[in-house]
Amino acid sequence: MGTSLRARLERIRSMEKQPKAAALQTDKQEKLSAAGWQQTADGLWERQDKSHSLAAFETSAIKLAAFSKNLAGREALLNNLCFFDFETSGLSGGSGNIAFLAAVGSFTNNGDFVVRQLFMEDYPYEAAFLNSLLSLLKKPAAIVTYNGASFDMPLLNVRLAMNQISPGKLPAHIDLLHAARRLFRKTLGDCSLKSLETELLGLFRHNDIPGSEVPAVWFDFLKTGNMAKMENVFRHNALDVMSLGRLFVIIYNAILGKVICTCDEVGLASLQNSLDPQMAENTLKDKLGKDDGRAAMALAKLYSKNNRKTERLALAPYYPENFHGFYARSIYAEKLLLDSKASLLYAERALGVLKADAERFGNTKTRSIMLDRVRRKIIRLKGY
Amino acid sequence: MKTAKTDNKIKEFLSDADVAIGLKSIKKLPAQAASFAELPENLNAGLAAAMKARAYEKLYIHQRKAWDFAMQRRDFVVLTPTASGKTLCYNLPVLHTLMEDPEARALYLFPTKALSQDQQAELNELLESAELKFPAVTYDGDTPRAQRKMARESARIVISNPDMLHSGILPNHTKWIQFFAGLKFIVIDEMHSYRGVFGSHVANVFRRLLRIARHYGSDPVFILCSATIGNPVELAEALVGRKIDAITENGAPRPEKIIAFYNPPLVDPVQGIRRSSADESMRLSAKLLEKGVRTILFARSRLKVEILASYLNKRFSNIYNNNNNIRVEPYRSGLLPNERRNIEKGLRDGTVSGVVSTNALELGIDIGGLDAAILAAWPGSMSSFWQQAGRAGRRQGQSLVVFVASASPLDQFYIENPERCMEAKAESARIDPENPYIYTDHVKCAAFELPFKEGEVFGSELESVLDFLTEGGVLRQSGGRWFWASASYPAEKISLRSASADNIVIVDTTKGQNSVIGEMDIPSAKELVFDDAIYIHKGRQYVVQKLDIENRHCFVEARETNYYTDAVVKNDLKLLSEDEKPFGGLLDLVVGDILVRSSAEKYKKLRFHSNENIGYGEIFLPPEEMQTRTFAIVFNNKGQAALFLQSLGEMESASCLAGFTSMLRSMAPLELLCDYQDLGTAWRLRDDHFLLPSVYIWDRYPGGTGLAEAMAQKLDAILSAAYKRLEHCDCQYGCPSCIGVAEERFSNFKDRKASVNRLIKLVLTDLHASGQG
Ligand SMILES: [Zn+2]
Repeated sequence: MGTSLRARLERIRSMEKQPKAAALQTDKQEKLSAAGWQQTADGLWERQDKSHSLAAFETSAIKLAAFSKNLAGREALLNNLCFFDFETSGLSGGSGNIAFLAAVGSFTNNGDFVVRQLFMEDYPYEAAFLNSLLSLLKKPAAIVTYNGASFDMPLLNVRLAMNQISPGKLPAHIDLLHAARRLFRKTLGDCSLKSLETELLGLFRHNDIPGSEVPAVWFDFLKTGNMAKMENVFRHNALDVMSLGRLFVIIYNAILGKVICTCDEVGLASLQNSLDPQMAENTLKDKLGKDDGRAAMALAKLYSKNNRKTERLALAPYYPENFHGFYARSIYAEKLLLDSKASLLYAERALGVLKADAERFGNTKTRSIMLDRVRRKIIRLKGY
Repeated sequence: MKTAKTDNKIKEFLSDADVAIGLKSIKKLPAQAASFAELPENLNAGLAAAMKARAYEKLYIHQRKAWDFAMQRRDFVVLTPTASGKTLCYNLPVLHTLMEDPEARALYLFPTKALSQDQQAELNELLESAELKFPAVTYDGDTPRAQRKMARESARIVISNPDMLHSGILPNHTKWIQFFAGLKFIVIDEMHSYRGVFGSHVANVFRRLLRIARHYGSDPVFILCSATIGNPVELAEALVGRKIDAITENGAPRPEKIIAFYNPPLVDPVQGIRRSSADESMRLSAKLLEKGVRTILFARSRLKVEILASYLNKRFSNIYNNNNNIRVEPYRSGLLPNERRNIEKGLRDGTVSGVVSTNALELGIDIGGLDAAILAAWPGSMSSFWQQAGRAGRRQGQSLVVFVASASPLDQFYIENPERCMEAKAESARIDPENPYIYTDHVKCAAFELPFKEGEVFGSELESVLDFLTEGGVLRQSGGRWFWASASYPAEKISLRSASADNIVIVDTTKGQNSVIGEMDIPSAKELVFDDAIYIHKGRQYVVQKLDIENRHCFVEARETNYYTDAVVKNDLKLLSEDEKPFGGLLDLVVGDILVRSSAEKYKKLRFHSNENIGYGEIFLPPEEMQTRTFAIVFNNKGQAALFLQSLGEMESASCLAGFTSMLRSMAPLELLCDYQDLGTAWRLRDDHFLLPSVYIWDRYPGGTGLAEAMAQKLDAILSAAYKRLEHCDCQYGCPSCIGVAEERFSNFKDRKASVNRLIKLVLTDLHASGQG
């Protein structure tokens, strides 16, 4: 190439009218200090925020199985958990997306909630940032996040790998989103932290920055030292873990049945089941006949696991009015009520639904097997 | 004796009077015996046993040489014709290394997904027979999620393509640490397909790959395989940025191959109109298939493939002859994987007698050997020609290749100069990894993957680009490093294969439906699918309802018309720099940057078949602007060519320059290994910049891919070929097979051929007189 690439790039740029970035560098350090940050190492800042927890403080050991089946049998005190959230330079994955701000919250013995935030002033301080963060994350018995299983934790691993820092052994991780979805997907639809805040904590954030605008604010801060918007990001991050801590306590108490909130009982029972199957059974029994039949289906699953056949059979009247519901009612009538006439009636309704389904959604292998089975049952019942 | 029978059938075919009328020449590639070398002594015992079990007692010499180079950890390229056992060139050293070193890993890259899948099947067979439990995993866009994790964590051989490497693997390298740390070999098959824009991108992807490998402490060896091209070492070195050794001798045996050059008979000798090459190819294929000669017919477009296959099948289904057991299948890209596999299997086991294919079958997919290959029109490049010709030929016995020329100047040139094909002096493949757009894009991707350190080497002008991107705010320089400072994922927006990732989508709205039927880049869309244009797709005509460039949509509706549309495109040129004046003297030859502003303000309506102009329409679209590289010939008043132009009247001089430019453009692919579409041309009687008669020929990819520079070097060869073409053309005054169709305003000059001929000759004289022979 005989020509200088620089000259060619200049020409291309002038054609694209790419604006030249303003290179206004002001004293970031002064501003950060003024905002309550303390520099703990070169380019690494820390800030603490204490607030009185509004949540009922839980003093007994928390059974972690309530949040994840993988943690069966594990317990921890509430003040031995930490609540963690990252703010990042981008929303995609990949090694060019970095976390520049972290909040780690925890309850104190007297029920206060303390948020410690770590902030790196610029890219070169990432290793120091991560090392500090690791030491905070390693102390508690478990780390609680919201959507951390697919975002914060993998990101942490990528950043550690990029800086060639070995994570060592991290405590157990609880993604509260998992339990939240079980409880509220049916009732709230959207299970974002924000809608849970509104619905369960009655909290509205004023002038909160949307997550999608965070990267731009960070880049602007890097270039210009603009703190006004950055403070919004700091607050957003701190509020996230505060809400996370409070939601954690509420959700835990809801699972134990100590707090009553509008939620999906079938989901509630599935969470309770890993703590105490009896509790799950009671929850579902309370719901029998009061819903569209999902509770009965869930209870039937629970019974068949424990080989409680007769109780299972007796659930038939609560089933939804679909093929399986009618078919179960037909068996129930025949075997428990010894009423072959009713049984035939239900078998015929089951057949009707199945035929309609096959017409609408196509005939699958399972459908044709079931079709065959119901037809034979009808013939047999008619033969009485 | 099946082979003898086939030999006879080929002889019969060639002496058939219906065939002989068009046969211009018949060339022979003599048979060649195999040359063997011993299996390496230190070959891993398990692998040696597996080789012997599969009856590989010996290696061909090129396979052995590949082994030796690989063991010396030298990067190398192997030139391999079809069916010469090239996969062993890399599988043997790679598997050996993986067996000896449990940490070792290898990356295989193929240009298409179909080829990756083929390769995996073949590799698994070898692995099974050697009782090796190496996971060889295909990792591409179709790989299911669960298998991806397995590939990342435990695969010893990862089979992928450059696109996936670019957008999936490299940006997520922290999930591949073990793989990169153990990476010993990078195998690049079908290297010749990495040329032009695609190759320029891929070269930058390899820079990124090596950078990540270095980060994790590995220094992999490159093994490249290529079909015949003019400059394998140069291309390989440009692609991987390292010194490369070449293995060019081939030890595989080769039976005799006959190559026939067929020119469809003239229908109108005055206008130089011939019978269509597609029809003639079909006729010749049918003759061969009827004789029981297994034949592949190559056509240039998907549509042609479908049409020719259905014609052939219709012809064979006639119940009054006994040809109805002859089955011909169309083969093209876009087939479902199992459709494709069924055809390949049918070809191998003989249930399919013939196939009509696009160049999809050019690449190394295994279909066994066929008896004959028919090429309907020049396939675009010498290496494609030989790849397609390679589809005919089995272990033993003769095979036949018939090239059926179209009326284009290039096709006619090869008919008259068959030795140009036979000399196998293939074109050179060029890339320009420093294309400023492409290079800048990949610096972004690389910075996303790992921050750049001061003094790091990555391409030729890293610091300029880093500064440029820092000023633009995409990178941040801090503490002696450059960091990715944008919320986006750069690889997502950069496509390796087309000029721009955001194409116009063509939507069929006929009868209220909304189905996507095609895609087109924005510059082409402005010239082809403007409002009221006729868009032809799969033989159907559509009228463009609305071209919505902002939203990247073009809505069309099916409608029968008796005309098609042709935009009248005006190019405004602005030369931005004169960077290179390779020659100078009696002519000024310039290479530089150019701003091309193309605008189409009106279009012609032309009647189908007769091409008669039946009206005009207006186009309301903003002009398209592009900066690229150009080559220019400036007639500077010193040379004889310039004097000749001056001696003509203004209009005749214009007519002569137009014909000259048209010939230059149509003959350029002969030397440049590019497509006709890759070049733009314009001529000026009095150029705004030089104030002299000038001809421009530019690279239609923004920023250029090296075509302008190559044009400057190859001008002599291209013009010599053009001169030859003109001399031999059967027409009297110029025709589409030489200087192209005359514009209406030049209709007064009956004999354009003579003046163009003279201009070419004088330009050559001027070049030689300036010492540029
Ligand atoms: Zn001609």
